[in-house]
Amino acid sequence: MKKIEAVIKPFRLDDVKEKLASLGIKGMTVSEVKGFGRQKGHTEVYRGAEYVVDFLPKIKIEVVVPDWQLAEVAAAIRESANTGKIGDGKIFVIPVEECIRIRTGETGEDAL
Amino acid sequence: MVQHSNLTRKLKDIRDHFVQECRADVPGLLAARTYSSNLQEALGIAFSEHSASQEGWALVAVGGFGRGELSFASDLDLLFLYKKRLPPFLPELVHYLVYGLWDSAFEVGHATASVSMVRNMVQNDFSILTNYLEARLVAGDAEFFNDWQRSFLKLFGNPGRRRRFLQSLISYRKARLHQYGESPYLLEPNVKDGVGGLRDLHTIRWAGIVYLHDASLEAMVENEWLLGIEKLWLEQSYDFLWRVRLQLHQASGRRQDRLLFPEQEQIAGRMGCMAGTEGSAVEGFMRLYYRYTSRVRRTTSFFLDRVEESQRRFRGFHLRRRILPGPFLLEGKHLHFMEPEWVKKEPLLLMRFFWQATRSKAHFHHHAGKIIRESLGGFGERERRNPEAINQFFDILLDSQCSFHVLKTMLETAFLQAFIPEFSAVRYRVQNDVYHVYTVDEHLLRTVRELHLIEAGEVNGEEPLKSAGELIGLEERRILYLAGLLHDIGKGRGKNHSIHGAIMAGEIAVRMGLSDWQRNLLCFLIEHHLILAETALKRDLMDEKPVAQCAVTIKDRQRLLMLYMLTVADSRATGTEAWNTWKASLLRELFFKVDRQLLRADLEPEDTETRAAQTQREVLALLPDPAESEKLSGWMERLPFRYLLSQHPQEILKHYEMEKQLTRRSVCFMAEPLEGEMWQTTVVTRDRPGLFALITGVLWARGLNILSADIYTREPGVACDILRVERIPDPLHREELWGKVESDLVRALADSSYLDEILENRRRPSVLEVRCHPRKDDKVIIDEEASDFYTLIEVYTWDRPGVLHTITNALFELEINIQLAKISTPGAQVVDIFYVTDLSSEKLISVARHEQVREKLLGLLAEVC
Repeated sequence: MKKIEAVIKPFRLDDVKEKLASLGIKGMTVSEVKGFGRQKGHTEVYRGAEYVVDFLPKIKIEVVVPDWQLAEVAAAIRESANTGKIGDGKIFVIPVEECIRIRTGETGEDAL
Repeated sequence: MVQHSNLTRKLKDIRDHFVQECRADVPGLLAARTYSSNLQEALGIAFSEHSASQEGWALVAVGGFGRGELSFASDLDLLFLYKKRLPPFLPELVHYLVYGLWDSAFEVGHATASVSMVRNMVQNDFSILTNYLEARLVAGDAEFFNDWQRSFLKLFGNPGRRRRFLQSLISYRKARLHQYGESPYLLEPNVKDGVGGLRDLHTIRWAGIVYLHDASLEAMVENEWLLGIEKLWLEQSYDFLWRVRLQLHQASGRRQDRLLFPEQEQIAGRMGCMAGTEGSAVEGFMRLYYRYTSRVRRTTSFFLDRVEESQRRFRGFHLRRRILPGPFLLEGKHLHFMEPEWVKKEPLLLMRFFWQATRSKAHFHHHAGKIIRESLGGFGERERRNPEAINQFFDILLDSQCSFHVLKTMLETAFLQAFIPEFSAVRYRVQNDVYHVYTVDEHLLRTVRELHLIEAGEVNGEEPLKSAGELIGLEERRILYLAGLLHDIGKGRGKNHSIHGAIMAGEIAVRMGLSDWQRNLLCFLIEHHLILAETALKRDLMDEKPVAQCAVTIKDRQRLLMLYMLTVADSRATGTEAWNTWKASLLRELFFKVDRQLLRADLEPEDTETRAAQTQREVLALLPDPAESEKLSGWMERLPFRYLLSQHPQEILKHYEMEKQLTRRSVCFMAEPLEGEMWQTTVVTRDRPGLFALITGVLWARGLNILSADIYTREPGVACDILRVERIPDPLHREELWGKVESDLVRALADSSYLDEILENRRRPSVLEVRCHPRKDDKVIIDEEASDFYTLIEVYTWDRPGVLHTITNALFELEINIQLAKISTPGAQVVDIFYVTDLSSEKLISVARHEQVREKLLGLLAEVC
């Protein structure tokens, strides 16, 4: 199992959500976050300008998938969140050791 | 209450039993139906037994479950339907049932809704609408369910609503075909949603339910929306697709509907395909698959046409009808036979029909196909040789707008195979690699289309293509297009398909009554249709020899131009992977070189000494500071010949400046953009053993793809390596990338362990790359003939991380100097060509040495994965 954490531009969320739903993923968590990447929160950089670090609003999607589905899901997020511009965000992939469904106590991929 | 452990066990048993069946056997549609009805029955019994009242609610199976066809891996789509108010006991029942299903690992898609909620849902979402069209009662109030179904179908009660439904259905299908018609989906098609997949068959059923309240194919035949033969095809395909789908789910262990390469192989075996005349087992299987799906696609299109026509508001009223000689009837945009019986008596009308369609830019009437197919028997040897039919055929072939779609219909109605019987051998023929996207027949038609695009100036505006159309006479054009249509006709007859093809084309030319020179030209174009591409990609174009060989084979400029057009069209029609700026620029370079040689008419190479001296003079003239000219001349004296002959004077001066900086630093690096997404990188540094392997290692570790390399060493020991690369990982921050490459080079030169470190980082396979391609055996060919000064090593292998670095490193360990490298990656295959010498700059020559190289390379390639 892997957890995919994707930080994306807020207005791409609908596209990403639709794409993921069409792949049949079984659940996801979405939160509003703020942050910055290598542009330090500037959408454009002016040469010589003093810059202040700005936090830009982003959406973080978290979704846990079985290993075989990872490539597909990551590619789907990449495609649907991509605008080709700076600030499109990042995708992190993190191994997940275990997963437990609280109601039944099932574990592993069955519990996803 | 439902004893859900009992129910769960029962359902699980049914499913496990079905999985077992699929493992032991290759069942199809019937099994999918049996499984579905078993599930339905078990659910129905359990549910009815435990519900307090049967009135005012229904458990409805929808989607695939409603259709009554399920795979063991399918979702179960359920609808809990109630009248107006939710019966108090229902929520609990729903909980138990759904939880039970979840716990036995069924995928459930369920909704609990009242009649009016359902009406709202289906009006807002077309996919929900189609999902609910096929519903069946599992448990509950049968009368209520029937009422609901009747009222549901009343949604399409008036013709306007039905028309709207048909429009949505057509555009829904169009969007689907567009998405799944893209090239990766052609090689690894989706059994369910792909072109000609199960969805097309569902589409027909949905239309049947809305219009006839009957999803059966018999009803469509009765209504003349399907022909008897089409019904048979659909039934066969339906069963075939289900057999494939069940095996696919069985092999992948989940609901995977895309037929990926690894599973293709397994399923081919399961379905009993064997290697033989059809090529490998997979190729035979996929040929079968395409035959079925293209029939489904075609029949579905015809079906929708017919339904649409039958629903037109004022039938036949506002359509303009014209009678054309034949006689044919042009109704709106659709061409049809006036007197179908005449065709049997006069089979030449068939060619005339296609010719007329081309002339009036018409589509084909959906009943025309049947008439054509039924009359094919009359079109025999005499008709094939009929001069008028042959002229009409060429008119069709040369028509820039219509040729592709008319030829396609000719192929689909099997008329093209009747006219050129050799064509049937390549129908649906598949080549199981990632390089060829289309089946051979499709590829041939696309080549013709590309030729038209080239002439229309839509390929690129550069010479020699820009004015190619004007330079070719009418008679030659006919032959060029015919060559385009036939160039791969010899595929599937063993090695050297171009030679087989040329022989076959010769026979076709005789049959068509072409003159001797036309026949010779046709055979020449087909026999040599690969020569330009092979030379451009695999030979050093600075070397006179391969260019001269091309010139000797091709002989005249007109033929060269035609061959060039054919080569470009062929590559572009192969697939997106086969054509790029890199290949285009190599081909163009070769074209001009061969053209120049042919223009000079003598095939003697130019005197290299004069050319080298000329270059030296030009470099000196460019030097800004005259004081330095003596130093520069001295520097140029020690340059290798090949360098002087292949580099531009400006480049030479640039390298001179770079070399001067070596007093202060260990390496001098430069990157400049070329056309397209390509870059040229130049590395000047002190020569040392294994330098090239080191550079390829660094570039690869930074994610760059190397296309070619020129390696020059100048006395005393300065190396100048020029590499063309592509796929800059981040085009927005390329300066950053080149900075990293340069510092990597400096560090790797200073410390040999650094390279291993960055390679190790890069080699760590990404968890994201799991795709697997059909693999062919690695091959190493060593050629002493191709060049007078170098031995050529050609390495054919499949693409994987760091393969180039592995090869270059191995050559370094074998004490072989690489002078020049050409790397192309068509799809997943890598073709690396190295021009090499031994350490004393001699060719390798000895057979023992060849064996040693081959063994080492093959051994290493087998290890890297």
